Amino acid sequence: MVPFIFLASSIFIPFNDNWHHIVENVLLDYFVNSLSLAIGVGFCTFIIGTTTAWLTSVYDFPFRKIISWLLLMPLAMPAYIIAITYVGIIDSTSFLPDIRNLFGAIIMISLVLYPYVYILARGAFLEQSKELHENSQILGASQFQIFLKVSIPMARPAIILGVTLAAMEALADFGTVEFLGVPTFTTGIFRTWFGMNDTVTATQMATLLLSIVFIFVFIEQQSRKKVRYSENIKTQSKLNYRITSKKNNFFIAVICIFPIAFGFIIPFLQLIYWSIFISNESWDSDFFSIVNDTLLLAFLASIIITIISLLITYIKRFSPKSITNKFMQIITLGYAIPGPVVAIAVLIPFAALDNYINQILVVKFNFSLGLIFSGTFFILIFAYCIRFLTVSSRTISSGLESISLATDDAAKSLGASTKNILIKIHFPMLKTSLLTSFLIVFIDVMKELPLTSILRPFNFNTLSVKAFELASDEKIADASNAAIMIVLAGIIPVILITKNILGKRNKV
Amino acid sequence: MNKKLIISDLSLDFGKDKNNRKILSNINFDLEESEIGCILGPSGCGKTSLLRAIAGFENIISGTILKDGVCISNSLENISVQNRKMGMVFQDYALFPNMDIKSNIAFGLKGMTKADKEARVNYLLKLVNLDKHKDKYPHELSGGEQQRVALIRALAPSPEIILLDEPFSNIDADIKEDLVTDVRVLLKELSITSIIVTHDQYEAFNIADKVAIMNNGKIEQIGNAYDIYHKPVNKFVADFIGLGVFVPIVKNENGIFETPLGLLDKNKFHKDEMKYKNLEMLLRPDDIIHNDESSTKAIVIEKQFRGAEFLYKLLYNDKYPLLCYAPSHHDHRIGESIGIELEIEHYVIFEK
Repeated sequence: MVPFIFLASSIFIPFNDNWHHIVENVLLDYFVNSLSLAIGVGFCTFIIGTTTAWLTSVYDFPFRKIISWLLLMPLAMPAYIIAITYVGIIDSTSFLPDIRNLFGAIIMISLVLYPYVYILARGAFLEQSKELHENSQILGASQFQIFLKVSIPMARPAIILGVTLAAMEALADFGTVEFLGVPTFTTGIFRTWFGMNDTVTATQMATLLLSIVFIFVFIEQQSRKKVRYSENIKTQSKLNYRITSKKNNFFIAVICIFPIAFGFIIPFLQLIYWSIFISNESWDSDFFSIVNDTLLLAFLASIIITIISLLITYIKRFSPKSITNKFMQIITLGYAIPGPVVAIAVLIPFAALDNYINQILVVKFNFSLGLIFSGTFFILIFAYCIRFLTVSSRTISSGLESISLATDDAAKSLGASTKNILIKIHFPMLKTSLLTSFLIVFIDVMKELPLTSILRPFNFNTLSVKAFELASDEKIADASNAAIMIVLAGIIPVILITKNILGKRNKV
Repeated sequence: MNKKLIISDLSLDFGKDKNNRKILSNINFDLEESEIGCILGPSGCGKTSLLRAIAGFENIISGTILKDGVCISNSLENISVQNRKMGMVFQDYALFPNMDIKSNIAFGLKGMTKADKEARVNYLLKLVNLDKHKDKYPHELSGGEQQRVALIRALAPSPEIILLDEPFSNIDADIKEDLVTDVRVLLKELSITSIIVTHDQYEAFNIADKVAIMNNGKIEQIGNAYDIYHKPVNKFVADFIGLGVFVPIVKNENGIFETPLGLLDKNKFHKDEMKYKNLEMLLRPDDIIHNDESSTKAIVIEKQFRGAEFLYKLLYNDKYPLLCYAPSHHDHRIGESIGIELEIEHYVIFEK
């Protein structure tokens, strides 16, 4: 929280020349580009996500099960990696259009983010009652009319939620737009800070971006509430009918394979090709020490974040009205805040604190500790907390919510103490959510780019930073080893998510 | 005093209610050892809150709850849920989904050897014919089976009182009747003091020795099923329990009370009832007899076939709706005029 008070307070610092320069020359560009990116990605993910969700939940076609699973695979691919790969592919041919522009960035980001919409929309479609669909058919609606007039409107909260999440992620994106050379707020902040060395202006821009982000957060939270309402309506039987039409089978399968091919298979194969035939980077000890560092960092961060989330969630369950709880709600907005903004927000106060402590030490004891917080793992993990606490606490709290309060009461009436309830009932039931939270944060930290590259300790490197550095130095093929590792790690949570969805379906 | 449970002047609220209304006010209720009590009322009347207060989940603001003459709740102190020796069966059963049936039942057993626990669990499972399901998980059982598991789980630690919150509300109608009887037999066999909360009067009448009718956080009447049906103390109870209609009573110039359907017998009145001017009388469907010979006629406006009998809804004199049971061979058309006569055992009269 404190970091963001610092951010907000930057508005009161007088604007300097750089600010005026930026406002006059580039701010409009940043604004238009960032917003177009968010809206463009929102639109594309909506089209790809709802179409594939609809086709896989209503039609029966060859390999439907495996295709509906594979449709999630692009989630494993960070947007900057897919962008790097396509730039590499396009550079080696002459006939493909250049993607180093806003349009390219929209396509790249949408190709890996549409699964957000896909998962949520598909979930909502499958929850819709069979009776409702049959009723629409009896009333003479065609499949397409049902899709447009019944299914989409009913799934609207879920779809809006998915689209907003994708748009927010696009707004927060740094790696892709930086690599494709699209000037946006995030890259602008980065450049102002490290290129022009102007912390004040960078902070002011970060504050501006933050206020735009909050508009999206508002939309997202509203739709989340609605999703909850609509889920409360109990349906007699779930949508589980399948339409088979021999004529269109092939066509439908092809439509669904498109996003998988472009969002995952083609870039992944390209990475493997580079890694085997072109890359100059070998799988040597240097590389493995980076792998080692990355895993260690991710492990530490995810353990810490999962524990904090567990605490937050318990506060929420046992004292839903407490001030701490309100405070926690604010803290968990972090996922929406772009990496560079988080970086600035934590760096400024901690650097000031470091300076202050060292000044006192020097005056009193004539001795200096050097950097205690900034430039250490502490600040890095602190920043990860801000960024990833939301994902983690949502996972755990949905796990905890599934344990009804009556269960606690039942245990109490059978004489169990609070400690016993935690150990014998909550923990066994929460195991999966804790593990899921751990893994999701783990992979997110592995993929994370801007925070890590700004806040990492000196001489410390992660796979994502390494891959991005190599790619930015025009050594795209050399980045493939690190990229493959990231993608492989990213597949784990995708499998987890799928299992989760399948598990839920089986229970029904 | 050998009452098992005494609730006196109990009040309860959940802080700021919009209308500053108490959830429960001035509740008085008691149970003898091994008596089965039932709290019956429409949804939202506060019956579940009362049960939760007895269990110790809610803190009361005034009054006392005594168990075996010892105070377990008053406005100042509450013995914790864990130490009340009460078992509770929850509406949605609240079985622990992560444990199999035998672990669910054994959960509340303390200070026993493993073998003793196992014996107790097996004994209880046999009691409700579920012994073959002991290794299954709750979601593998049907609603009725889950309900029985919840019941024996609550009974396992041998509680002194068992509380059942709408235990039959999720049970299909066709097996409910048998289950209600089975549960009553079981509770009586174990001679355990029980309180059941329900909104279903047939459930209440079939299971309980003593029924308390609750409305708006207050108890309206306490009694056995017969008294509550035939001697309701106020209009709410009369209306809520069973079927019936009200007809006005007027005193004619000769000082004789009469209804639109005929004269009434003064001797069947309570003395104080005659003091009031505007009275009305409850007529149950069994108070009106269908008789083709009768000169009093009413028009059939609705009818329900109930197997052995018809329930006719009639209109008398163009303004008084009446209900009447008739043997089902007396099949009359809607719109037909049929003969009826009054035959009332007890007068149930209220001031209008």
